[in-house]
Amino acid sequence: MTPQPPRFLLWLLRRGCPPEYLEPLEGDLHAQYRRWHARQGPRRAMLRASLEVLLLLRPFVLPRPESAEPFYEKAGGFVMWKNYLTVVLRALRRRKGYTFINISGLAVGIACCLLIFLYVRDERSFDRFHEHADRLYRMTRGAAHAITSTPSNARFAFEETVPEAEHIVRVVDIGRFGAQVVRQEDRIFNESRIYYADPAFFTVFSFPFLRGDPTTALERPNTVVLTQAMAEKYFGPRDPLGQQIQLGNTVLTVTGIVGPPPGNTHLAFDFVGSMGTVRWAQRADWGSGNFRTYMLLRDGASPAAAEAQMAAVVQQAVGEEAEEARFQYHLQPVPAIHLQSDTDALYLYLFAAIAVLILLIACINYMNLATARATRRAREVGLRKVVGARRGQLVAQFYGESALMAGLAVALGLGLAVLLLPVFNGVSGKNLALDAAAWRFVLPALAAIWAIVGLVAGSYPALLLSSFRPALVLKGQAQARGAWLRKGLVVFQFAISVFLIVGTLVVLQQLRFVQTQSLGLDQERVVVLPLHDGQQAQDYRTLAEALTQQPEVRAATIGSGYPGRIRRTFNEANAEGMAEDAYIDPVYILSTDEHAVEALGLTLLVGRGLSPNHVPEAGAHEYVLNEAAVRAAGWQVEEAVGRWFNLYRGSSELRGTVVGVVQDFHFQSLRQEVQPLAFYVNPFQRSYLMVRLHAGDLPGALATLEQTWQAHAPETPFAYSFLDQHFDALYRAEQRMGHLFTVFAGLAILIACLGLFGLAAFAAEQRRKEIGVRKVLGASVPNLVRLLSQDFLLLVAVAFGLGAPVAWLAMSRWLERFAFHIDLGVGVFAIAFLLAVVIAFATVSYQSLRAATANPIQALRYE
Amino acid sequence: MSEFEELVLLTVASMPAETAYGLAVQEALQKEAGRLASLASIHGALYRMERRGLLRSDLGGATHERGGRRKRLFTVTTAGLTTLRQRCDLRTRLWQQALHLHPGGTP
Repeated sequence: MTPQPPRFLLWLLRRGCPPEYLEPLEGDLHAQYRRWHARQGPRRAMLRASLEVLLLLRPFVLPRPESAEPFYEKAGGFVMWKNYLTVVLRALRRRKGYTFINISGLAVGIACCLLIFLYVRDERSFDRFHEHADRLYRMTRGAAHAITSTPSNARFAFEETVPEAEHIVRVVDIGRFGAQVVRQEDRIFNESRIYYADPAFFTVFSFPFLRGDPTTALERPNTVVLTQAMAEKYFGPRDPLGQQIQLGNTVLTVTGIVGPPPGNTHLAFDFVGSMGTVRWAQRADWGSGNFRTYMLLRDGASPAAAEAQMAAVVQQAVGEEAEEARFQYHLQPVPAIHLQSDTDALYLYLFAAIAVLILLIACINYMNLATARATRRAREVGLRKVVGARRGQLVAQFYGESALMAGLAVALGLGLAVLLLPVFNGVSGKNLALDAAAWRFVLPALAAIWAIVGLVAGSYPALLLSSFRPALVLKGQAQARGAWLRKGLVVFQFAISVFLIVGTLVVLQQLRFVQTQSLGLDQERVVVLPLHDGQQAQDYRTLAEALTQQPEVRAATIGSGYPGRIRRTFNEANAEGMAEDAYIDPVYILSTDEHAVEALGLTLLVGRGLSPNHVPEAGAHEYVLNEAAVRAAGWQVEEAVGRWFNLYRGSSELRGTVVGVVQDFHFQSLRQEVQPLAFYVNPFQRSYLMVRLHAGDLPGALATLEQTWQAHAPETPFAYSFLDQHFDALYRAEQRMGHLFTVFAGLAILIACLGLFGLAAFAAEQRRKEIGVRKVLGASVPNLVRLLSQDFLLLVAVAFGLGAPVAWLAMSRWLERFAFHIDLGVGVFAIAFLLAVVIAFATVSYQSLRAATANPIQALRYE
Repeated sequence: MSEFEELVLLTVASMPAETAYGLAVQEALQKEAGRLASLASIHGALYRMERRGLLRSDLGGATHERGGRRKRLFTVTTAGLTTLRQRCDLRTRLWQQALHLHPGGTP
């Protein structure tokens, strides 16, 4: 056996080389291969031959064959180009339906892609506008930036000792403790975007200053910087600089006005007061956690070095305790905060993936329809070839056509995106706009989409059609090739659709589940009223009793938070019977009073609630625990009452006796298991009144609440919210995902159906004569409809077989994010299958019916 | 005409009749000039020069080694020889001037 170059190389050579030049080249390649094979061995020979063939595939290596240079080329090619354009436009016009399906499908896909693109870009843009964004960090504690609050020593201790830090700035989010009353003469409003910050705040963060000096604005105590919107709200046309404004009980002087930030930020504020105003912020300690602390590193300093230095400082300051998570300080880049801590990046990437899938489905439509009608245009191709068109020209023609179509689709898609932007903003809760900065991203993106779609979608028809053999085509023997590919693509499209249907159903079901699941408390009739200042919190009992006397009110209590927003203590708790070094962590705490059980609608299992008017003394607290806390202590519920429990095992001050146990209720989102919770009394932690109403007239009850409130606290605005609103807010990301999933699943299916519709039309047309013959021989209409539809339904079934397992895997992974979730049953998949089949059948049956009811004479009269 | 084409043309002219075909030219080029050009560029150059009338070609015999494919044998035409001659003269003339300025051949 003589050694021969690999066959695929010869095949490549034959494809790439004009036939006139082929034989001598092929011979040379053979001979060369044999010589190299003999001299250097098979590997080198193979390499050499591959190289030779690859080099041949370059354009312009061989001169154009003279014989194939047709007359019109010599006329500058203009005639032909004009003809191409005529033919393309004629083809588009003649098949309006086809053109519509193609372009609208692509346009919708492009519009989706564009909107999602804007969304993703917006999500990724957070806090990148700061001048020093690349060396700006937030201090966090624990693994994975779990704790974002820090004690005051995060500034005081590190400022002198960490040489990498240029500035350290603390921020207190006052709004976190509830809305504040802000007053300027007769203008009184509730505000919640209020911070107090260290003087370097505006040096570190680049908020645009309109008035005042950013470096000194927060230097003195009792100063405040407002946003322009707030300045207008409180001062109208007057010059606010140097004026005074009352924030809670503190009078502040306005020293600066900032304009809206040039980009998104996690630090959205209306007021920034100077930290010097806050008396308790001046004390240095390691124990509290009231601040967010930001560090601006020196140019070129490494965050890792700063972290190591911080660890050393902490080690020296607190000794052995430095091992605990709350003393593990880390630096989180500020631009990363939004995606790492504030939102779920998973949803963002999922979203981007859906955009790509939709565009892919739209591209597939184009390819499918274009190949499907290939036979229709085969005659044109054949004739062109006979007249002397070269293959390259035909390829260029078809690419040109797809580029034209894609260009139209891109333009239409852009228009659609602009039109739909407000709707999309509504669904996604964003405020996206196509401004100059966006255009700079959108235009290249559109160009890229145009090029990719034109190339991908045009490739198959261009390569397939141009390879038709003219003699066969003109004799009418060209078979519709690519049937398998077409079927594969339809399967792929519907697999994606099935996946999206299942995803939508599961997300919606789970959302309904978390919103209707019994939480173990009366979330629908508990109203939360934020208290405004320390004085009001001290005297809350008068107001609470006045409220309780109203006939609409069942009970009222006080709380440091409310279910849905209950803080955890970062201290470690322990309890009677636990080992010396064992502790309970985390423990959530709610400072409240004797009415808590009744006012929240909880179930008391054993013991009683907190004592009326209980004033705790050090070491003599009363605790009401939930079942989870009892379990964590290692007790049985029945034996819990009377045992001691200590919220902070490091001292005896918070030690106390358990007086009762309540049934577990959900005070967090259903993503989490119910965590240990302790009710106790802490006079310094009173921020919200919680009022439970009787069933009945809600507006009336709310009016009564407001009247009572105004009678007792005329100076403060009345604000209320229901507990279930707060619980709903916990699932905002999921709700948004649910909405978006629904919309985009709908679109994906719509586009896939457009494609199926076109294919069905094509199939019906292709089998026109067959149907005619069958009809003449007595086939019934249902019979024919079945004949025409069954192929497509089979494809949908296969698609389901592919899409469903993937959906099952993905969605069960998603459900694992919830400690409490629905079971992924057969039902969802059955619905998805039926939906897919029904939609596909409805799409196909129109064409099938039309073909089946047509008069057979129309089809057969030329035979 | 590119420098490479000139080299190919010269190589063909230097080979005995009925022996200049793609692979042979490639091997001669490598042997004489130490230059490994691809078959594609050699064929390309040959055909281009044929079109310009510098070469003419005939199909030769098929051998077993060539997998039964015939060779295309190239012969230099009078026009080709004239071109080569002119190029050669140009070089010689320039070289004479260079020698005049740098006696001994070293600048």
